[in-house]
Amino acid sequence: MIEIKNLVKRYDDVCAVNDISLNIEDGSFVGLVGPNGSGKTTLLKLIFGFCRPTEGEIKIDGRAPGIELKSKAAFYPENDSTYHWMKAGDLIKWYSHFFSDWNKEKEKELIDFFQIPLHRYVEHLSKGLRIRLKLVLTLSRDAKTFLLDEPLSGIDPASRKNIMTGILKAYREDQTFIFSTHIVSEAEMLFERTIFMKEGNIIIDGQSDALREKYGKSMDQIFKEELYG
Amino acid sequence: MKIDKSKPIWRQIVREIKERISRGEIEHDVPTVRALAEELSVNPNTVARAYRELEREGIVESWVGRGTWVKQKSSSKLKEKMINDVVDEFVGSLVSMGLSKKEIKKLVRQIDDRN
Repeated sequence: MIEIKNLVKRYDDVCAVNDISLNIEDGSFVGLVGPNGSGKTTLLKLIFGFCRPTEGEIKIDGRAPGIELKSKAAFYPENDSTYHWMKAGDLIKWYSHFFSDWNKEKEKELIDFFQIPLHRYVEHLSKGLRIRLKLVLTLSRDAKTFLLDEPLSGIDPASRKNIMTGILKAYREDQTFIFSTHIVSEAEMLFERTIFMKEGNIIIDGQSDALREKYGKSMDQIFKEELYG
Repeated sequence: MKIDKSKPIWRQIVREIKERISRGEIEHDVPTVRALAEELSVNPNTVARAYRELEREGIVESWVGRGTWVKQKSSSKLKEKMINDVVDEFVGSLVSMGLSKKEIKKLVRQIDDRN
């Protein structure tokens, strides 16, 4: 369980996360939705312990984010990997040695599904394939928590479904997924719960089907109409 | 199946499974939660919620490790109920447009001539 209480993160004068409180139960698949600059990435980084809160607290299974968490959680960064000089297959093998929860079967399933050319150098892969490779590195673990930062960004609309299907194949119902995105339409059917952020605040938060019932709108329509309207 | 993302997805899955049963597409074994989730590209927990509702309504039964299957007689009863629902909806919308029962009966009798 992730517990966040009165969380604030300020960079100089800018308030990236502004007094957020929320709980995320184990085994839930959460969509963290908002425009660029709404604080989604900062919130994920705070949860993972990449940066420290200015105020407030985060507890994961009762403890502050630390070394122990990193062995149980996987983080997918939006930024491109820096291992351009390695072959895709070598990179996966090298990367897998860092984690005791590496799942060889999952790795194979994902490599096949995303059709990763293992013999090719990372720098020669298309952007779409580099994103898929990064997903193999993140999702091949049996981690308890997965924090995915904008996995659809840089993916052309026709390929988004393929990415979502890969994520669905890797997902097990007892794992917690927090998935940030500003591309909602193709992702929303995987979100059991959707949290809408704007300017560092949570504007709307609820079970996706309950929000559909309440607003009579899709998560994508709520994103476009309620956040910008 | 085309999912309408502006309406609760679990309800649409309940309806879809009922339709598949009444059309005879599902005779005994209901797809596993995983298989249907991947077929529809939805969260498996949403499918599981729909299956719990179908079980609550007495349409399917499930057993851990053995999957989910249609209860005997469900399919004919379901078809009957779905036909009644469609008729109720049809009559209801015509009544709300101001038609009397007599006029609706007349309309139904004309169906033969139209086709």
